[in-house]
Amino acid sequence: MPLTPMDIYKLLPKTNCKKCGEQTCMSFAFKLLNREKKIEDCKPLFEEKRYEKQKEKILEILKPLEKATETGLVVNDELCVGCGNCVVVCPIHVEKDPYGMAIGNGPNIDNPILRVENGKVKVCNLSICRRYGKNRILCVVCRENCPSNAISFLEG
Amino acid sequence: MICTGCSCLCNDVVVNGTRIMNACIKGYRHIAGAKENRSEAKIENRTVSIDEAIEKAIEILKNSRNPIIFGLDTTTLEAQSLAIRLAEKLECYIDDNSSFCLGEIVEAIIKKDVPSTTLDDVRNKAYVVIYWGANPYTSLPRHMSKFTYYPRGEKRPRGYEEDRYLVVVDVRKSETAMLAKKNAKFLKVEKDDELVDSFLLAVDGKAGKFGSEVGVILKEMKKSDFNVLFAGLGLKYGISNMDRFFEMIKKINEKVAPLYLLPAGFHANMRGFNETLFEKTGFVNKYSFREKRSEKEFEFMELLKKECVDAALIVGTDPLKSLPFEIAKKFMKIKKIVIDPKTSLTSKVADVVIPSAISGVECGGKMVRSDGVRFKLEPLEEKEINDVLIFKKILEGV
Amino acid sequence: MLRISKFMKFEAEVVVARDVIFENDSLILVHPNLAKIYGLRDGNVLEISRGDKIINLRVKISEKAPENGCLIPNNIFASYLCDTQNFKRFKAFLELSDSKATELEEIIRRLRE
Ligand code: SF4
Ligand code: SF4
Ligand code: SF4
Ligand code: SF4
Repeated sequence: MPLTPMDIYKLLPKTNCKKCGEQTCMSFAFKLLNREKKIEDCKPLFEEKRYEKQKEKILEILKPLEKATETGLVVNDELCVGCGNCVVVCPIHVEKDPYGMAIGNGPNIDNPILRVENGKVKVCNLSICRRYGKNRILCVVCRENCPSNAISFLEG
Repeated sequence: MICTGCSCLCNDVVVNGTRIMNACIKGYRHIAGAKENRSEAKIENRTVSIDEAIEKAIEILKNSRNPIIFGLDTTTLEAQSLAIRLAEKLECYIDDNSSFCLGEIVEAIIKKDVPSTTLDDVRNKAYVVIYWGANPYTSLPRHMSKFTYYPRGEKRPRGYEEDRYLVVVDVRKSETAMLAKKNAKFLKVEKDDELVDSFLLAVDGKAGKFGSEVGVILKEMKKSDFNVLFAGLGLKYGISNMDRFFEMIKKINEKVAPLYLLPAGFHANMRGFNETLFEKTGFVNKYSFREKRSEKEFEFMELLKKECVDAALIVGTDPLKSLPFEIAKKFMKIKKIVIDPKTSLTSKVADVVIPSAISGVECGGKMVRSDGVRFKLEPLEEKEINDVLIFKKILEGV
Repeated sequence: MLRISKFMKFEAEVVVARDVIFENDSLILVHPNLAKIYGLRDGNVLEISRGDKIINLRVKISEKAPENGCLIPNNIFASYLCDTQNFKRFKAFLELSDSKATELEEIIRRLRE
């Protein structure tokens, strides 16, 4: 299950104290997931004892997020079998590497988004992923074609 | 290098120190794990020198009245030829995994009884791609991404998105079946025969059990002059009459649209063994050099069942893992020589173990991909002792 | 509920198939539907009997198993239960067990008998 802002909001102090620089705890939760804020920015959560339990829970659910790359794309190493489907289907790969990944081979370009290394997919260069940057779109092509359900996106 | 982890023989694998690029998990384990679980020269579980083990093997083969050579699907064409020479010299049986795998299908293809093609043509031209009783996810992990459904090809520039139609036939919802989403169909069958019948009926304009599904698939096939069917182990065990299946392929070709047949077997060089034996004898497997013919009774499993052999030379395979218990028990009673770079269940109980090199990783040679295309291997090193050398020595000795 | 299911012995269809991840483990994959009916959970041990052959395998609930059936990876445990007629698909009786999963050595010992 992808993490939603609601999951995070529930565990925040919910006082809308604005110490984090946001108007509401909910908007803080949104920005946190988008990586525009850090959890440490919520000062009360760390300073006030009564939030101790909530803090621990939040840190726990945020753990996978640390591994996630900027676009929230995570590959579960335990599930991936290195079939290369995701590498071959990625529209950016197809566009940039028509005689390599587009036709099923390993990459001929230097900085592919995903590549198979030691039998598992590694996320290498998310800066060109369609989910990234200003004109981002909610591309799910790689996830849709993974037979292992090894790819997930952490997002709201 | 070329990965010899399965019959895809992926030729774009790059080894960069400890980093192995592009190989799937199976290939990675095959290449990076080469040094693990190595076998040692043994006679009755006692460690000996390789020469002693070979000597003992020669002695067993000489004293055996009815030996069989079995396996050979992961070794090179060169070693396969020598093994066939040895079988000829011993006038004994020779067989490989294809006799309980996809031998009949490869035979029909080699004899040109059914139309076949290459994986490169599949990538460039195929529209309908059928996996029948095959789950490439586990047996041929890169099959779909490198050759069949996902890649873009000359005549299929939009790849799976619009230019291909995937059909998966299986008894269960396999990982491959889960990928059958858009432009695709998953057919869950109980008895594969019923689906064959449905196709045969539909071709003649009648409706069988899977009438509507089959109708859709045939209609898709008509859109293209190039469709392909990959037959897997599930098909072999699910179908009672292979001839009817071949008839189905032929009829679809005659009346509907071109449909090519390819085996989806996984042993790296199984097709190579079938072709090498075929060149020599006109048969693809289960052959007796004494009787000069191939028979169902000469299958490794049948010979064991009827207790017709007293010694077995097992090359690069682990029959004990897959033999049904009753037959495995009989197998335990005969003399067993194992030639294998790795330890296996069979090598654990063998009378003689001769360690060898991993073809494609530690020694070179040629192999045949599942579609019949030949490749010259690009090993990372050349070990002195390999299957070819071992067979040469045994041949000299007997 | 659990107590009742403990005494229940049921017959189910078993398919043998390759599996990259669990290749050599003494595991049986059970379809969630079937698991629900008999109250099976991950990690339970099932006694699987077919004729006079009995082994214990650990349960893993998985949709990879055929609907209302089970899947054993293609390994020596599967082969042990197979015979030549029903090579890759057969019916077997299943029952929850308190013992541990059968080990490889045990099968080899039975082979040697
Ligand atoms: S600092 Fe924490 S409690 Fe205050 S508004 Fe921001 S998230 Fe809410
Ligand atoms: S999300 Fe889209 S663009 Fe990004 S890696 Fe996956 S397929 Fe490529
Ligand atoms: S599609 Fe899934 S299993 Fe295949 S390489 Fe990508 S992440 Fe791994
Ligand atoms: S698909 Fe087969 S040949 Fe290709 S990398 Fe994987 S194991 Fe090696």
